[in-house]
Amino acid sequence: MRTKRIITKKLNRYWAPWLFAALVATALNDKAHADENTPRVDETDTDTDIVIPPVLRNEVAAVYPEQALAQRVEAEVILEIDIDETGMVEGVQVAVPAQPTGYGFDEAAVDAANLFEFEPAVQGGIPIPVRITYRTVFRLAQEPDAIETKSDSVSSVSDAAVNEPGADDGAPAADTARILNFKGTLKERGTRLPLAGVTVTIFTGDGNLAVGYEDVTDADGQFEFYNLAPGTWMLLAEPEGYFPLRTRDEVRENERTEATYFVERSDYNPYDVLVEGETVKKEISRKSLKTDVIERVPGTFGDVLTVVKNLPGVARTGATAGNIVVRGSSPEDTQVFVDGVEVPIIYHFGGLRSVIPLGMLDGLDFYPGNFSSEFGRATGGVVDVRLKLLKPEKFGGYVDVNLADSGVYLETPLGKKSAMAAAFRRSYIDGIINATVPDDASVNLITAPRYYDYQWLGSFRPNDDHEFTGFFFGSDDELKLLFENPADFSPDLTATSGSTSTSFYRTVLQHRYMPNSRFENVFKTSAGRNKIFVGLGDQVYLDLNTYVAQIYDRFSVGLSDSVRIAAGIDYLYSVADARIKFPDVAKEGEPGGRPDLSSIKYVESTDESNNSVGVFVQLESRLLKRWTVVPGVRFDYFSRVGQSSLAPRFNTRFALTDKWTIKGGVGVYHQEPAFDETSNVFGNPNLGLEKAMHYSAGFEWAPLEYLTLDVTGFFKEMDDLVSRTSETVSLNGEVSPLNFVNGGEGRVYGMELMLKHDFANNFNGWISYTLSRALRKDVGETEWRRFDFDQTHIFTMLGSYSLPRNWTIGFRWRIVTGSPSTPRIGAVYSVDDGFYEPVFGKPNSERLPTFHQADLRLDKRWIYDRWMLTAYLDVQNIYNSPNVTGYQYNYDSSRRRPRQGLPILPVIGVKGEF
Amino acid sequence: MTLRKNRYGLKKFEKASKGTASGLKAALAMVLLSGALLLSCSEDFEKFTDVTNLRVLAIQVDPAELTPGDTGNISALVAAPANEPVTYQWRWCPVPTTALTGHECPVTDEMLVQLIADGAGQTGFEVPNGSLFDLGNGESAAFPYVIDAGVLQLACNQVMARFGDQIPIVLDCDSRFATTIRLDVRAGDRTVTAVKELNLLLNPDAVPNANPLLGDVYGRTSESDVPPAELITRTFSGAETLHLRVAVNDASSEQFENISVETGATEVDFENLFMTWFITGGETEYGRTSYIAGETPFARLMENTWYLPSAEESGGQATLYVVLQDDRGGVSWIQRSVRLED
Repeated sequence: MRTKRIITKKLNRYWAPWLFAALVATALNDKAHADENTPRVDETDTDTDIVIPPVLRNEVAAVYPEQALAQRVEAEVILEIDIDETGMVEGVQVAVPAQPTGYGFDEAAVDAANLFEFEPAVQGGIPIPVRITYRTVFRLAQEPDAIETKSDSVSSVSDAAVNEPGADDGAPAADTARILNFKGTLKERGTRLPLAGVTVTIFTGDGNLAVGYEDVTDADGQFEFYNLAPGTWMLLAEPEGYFPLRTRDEVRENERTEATYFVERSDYNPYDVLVEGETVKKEISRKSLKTDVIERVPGTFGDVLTVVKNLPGVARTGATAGNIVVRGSSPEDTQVFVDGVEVPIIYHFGGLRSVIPLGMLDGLDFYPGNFSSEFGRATGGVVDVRLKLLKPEKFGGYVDVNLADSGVYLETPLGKKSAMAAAFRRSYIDGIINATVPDDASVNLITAPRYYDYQWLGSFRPNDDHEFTGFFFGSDDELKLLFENPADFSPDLTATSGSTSTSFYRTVLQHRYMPNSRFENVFKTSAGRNKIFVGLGDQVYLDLNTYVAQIYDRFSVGLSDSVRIAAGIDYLYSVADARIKFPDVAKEGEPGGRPDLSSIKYVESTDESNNSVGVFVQLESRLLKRWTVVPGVRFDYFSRVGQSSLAPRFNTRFALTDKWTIKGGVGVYHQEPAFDETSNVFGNPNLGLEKAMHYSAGFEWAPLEYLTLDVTGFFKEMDDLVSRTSETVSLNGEVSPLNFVNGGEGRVYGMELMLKHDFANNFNGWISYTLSRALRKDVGETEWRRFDFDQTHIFTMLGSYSLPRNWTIGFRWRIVTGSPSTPRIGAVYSVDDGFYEPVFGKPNSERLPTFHQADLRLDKRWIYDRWMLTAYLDVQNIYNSPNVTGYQYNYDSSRRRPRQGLPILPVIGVKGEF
Repeated sequence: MTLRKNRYGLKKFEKASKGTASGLKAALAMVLLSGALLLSCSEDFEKFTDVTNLRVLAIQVDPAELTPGDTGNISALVAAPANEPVTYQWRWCPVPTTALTGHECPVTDEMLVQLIADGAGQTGFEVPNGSLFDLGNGESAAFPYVIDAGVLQLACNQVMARFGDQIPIVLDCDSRFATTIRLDVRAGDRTVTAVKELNLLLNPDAVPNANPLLGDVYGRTSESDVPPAELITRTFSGAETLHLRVAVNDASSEQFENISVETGATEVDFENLFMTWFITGGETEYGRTSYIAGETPFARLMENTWYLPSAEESGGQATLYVVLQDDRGGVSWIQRSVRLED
């Protein structure tokens, strides 16, 4: 039988002075480095585990003795209660009998205490038997009929002391002798979140005179003590995962001491909240990232979509290039969603910053291929940015200031069922440029580049079954230029000004219904507007105004514990007004250069509507507990090309052991050509859908809980790719160019590897490697050529390490095969145009030099009582690698020199959270 | 499929336009934002207007557009290093050529004869002087517009059908048939190729474009005006600043009927003019100046500042080539050399 610990005695006679000494000692020395001679709480000096006191679960009020009631006698009894490891009362003894005696106070108190039930005391996670001291108070109300017994523990049974009956019931008469004179609130330092369920101890005196009380904080982090004698009291709280709180406060006669105490987390590392729940893992190659990881990836400035470029299967593009190139194919082949809603513009100014700040997001899922039938209209990859589940516990937010922009994010609960958040961000590049560009520059910036974006997120959960969410977001970019001497830019430039303005907004309403674990329905509708204008005076312009609406519904039903069926519909409608006066633009594989402003086409359309309907169904079944099979099929109709498609898809995973899983998938994917390609002026309105087949197979190995290796081989075969043609077509006797046909082919194959170290041992990071070959054959060609982003080797290694005192250091290193490029082999002087027209070699027949770069990021967080300040230094290209991003040619293309990417670039930013 | 007409009514399309692959917006963004980058490369490379080697600076056809029966006199402004003989080779091509094929002409004499036969049913068309395509190797050349305009019009669709994949624009078979003049010049081991579009008017009553009218060059230093005659006789001190004004008759900006790209309606418009200031030494404030009808003042076209080179670096002489062009193919030029002394 275990020895019963008498914690009452420890508290009153031994614990308090020892503890006080310990407080002094640990205040001078960090807890982790405390001297071995530091006095310990435990008498035996062998057990340093803190005893978590028992909690009174069922209190029974003592019966007021009749005689005492009749004579209006009051008294107090102090009991010693023995509680076993199950929380049951083993025995009750009177420690201090009632005065006066003879009224039956002692017996009444003992009888009641024998019926108490407790949560047992715990030490080191094991329930233990203990003895506690308990005080039963017999008090009379002012009204003769109002009688009451009150109880208070001198140890850990604090609920009885704090939330005693009548204390808050508006019956002060019953509490006249019980005075609340110490009230405190325990909060997390920096975030101001209340700390609930924390035991708070207050004590005074030492030796035999030591007196101590305990309380447990409620949901608001509040605790209370009654009838404390005037004087200095020591307060102690040691919430798990926090630095201990040790302080002293003064209690004065006839005054109530009220205070808020802020307790600092022992580690503000954000990764410790990285808990990713997953039901049936049904995707072959999905990669998920949480915002807390995203925020600290070096070299990305915490930009959510830029981080995707560090994942396997994604090609390296320029530092400010907004395109996401997945498995070698064209950027247009990859779709970006925000919680399933298509976003027309994902970057400010085409690649500067994502249009949605991290504050609104939970993370992202990236599918480089073989995505399930829930996603469609893309033959490459899918990036699905997930909104955060809005559950703020307090009003809070952050202000983020960096060199490019500043943003503010605010969130607040609205009662217990609702919450809302709002964010706004604006750039000040315009201010920087206006301050630095000289007045006599040949280009005057009327409106220097500026962008802003805004978001509002609200949620309402009337009960556990329903959740309503509203999300409104948008973005606005603008740039206006004034050319002092247009001819200096180009002889055929006749505009004296240029401008671009891009804006969009979306309103998304969502209802999620989940009455039980077997059924879930998500209905979503969104509406909004895209407005794009870019122009050089009246010479060339693109003026697009599009209203879009989307309806989405997905339901899933669990047919059994191992089989679930999911189905849904995704309807997209748009109506657009367009005025386009523009030259043709280059397509995949066509070399960059100077647009021909003298060769311009024009198209105008009003109320041109398009719609796309997608219907999908898929089965998610887990066979033999280890085998997951996800067959699905998707039907799509595209009104712009007047075609429909049926796309069967199949993914499967088999867990060989707890650590080894093999997986594979095959699927069909379709997408529409770009809108200019189906234009009757710029393109060919008779184009059809582009098609791709995805094949993947691989394995996952999880040797440690925090370490996973994912290796996937893939093959992507593309058909009916839109390819430029010089063929003509005769209509009504008039010969016209055909422009494009569905005659291109593509094939991409390779292997992706990701070794991921989730946060553990203060470190998180990953190694990503892609080996691939991406080839394309255009119509009329007999030879395969490289895709624009055929990068044979893409290697990324990154990690973040949490240092003491809230420092974090991050590192990223990349080495990537140079992108293909098309050489210039000569030039011919076009007299009428006034420039040398380059003559190009074979498309993508040479490569840029190998790219390699290291980035470093340093974060430091300062914790204040009510807010936190984070400062970061993000240094790109720390060893100043002279990476070549392309070539600049002289006027007649007879000489060239490398165009280098970003030099070493330190960027600082600060973020205040409250 | 309807194609809107451009300024000349030509239904143009660029087969292999350049840029990135991210659509129209990206293309214009490139235009807006990369202009400075394009210019910036001239800081390390020689500027387009710095004449340091063999260059073809302009080609003029007089008249600028040919009506049936006209003969166009073709000349070139060629800058070549001293003491190096220059050889010329002139060619004509009955269709516009493209850089994709190195501006090689896809049509031969025989093909042309066949095209005319197939398109217009006119058999027995004879190529004058053996070939229309070879315009000789003199410093200048001449092109006779001897093909019947009606025949050319009828053959136009045949040209599009057969050579559509090798020509960069959709031919205008109603009013102006676009052809190409090509000049290859060689000096030492360097060869320069230049091309110019030559329009053959299909309507004999159409008003052809005229080459712009260029007057003399006037100078001004910080101390005094420099009349045209004095400009070539006076010796300037090296590194002196010379403000230039080239006299241009404002009638050079001709009025013409234009078909609006947007509306398809015929409207009266004025030509835009641009002037390129080529120099063999020193630096000019602007490489090009322009007059944009209705947008910029005419004076901006004519004025520039030349920061003269030192005599040592220029060998005691620097040359200015001013090339004036309208946006319909008209060209004129003037050339002035100044003496320098440090």
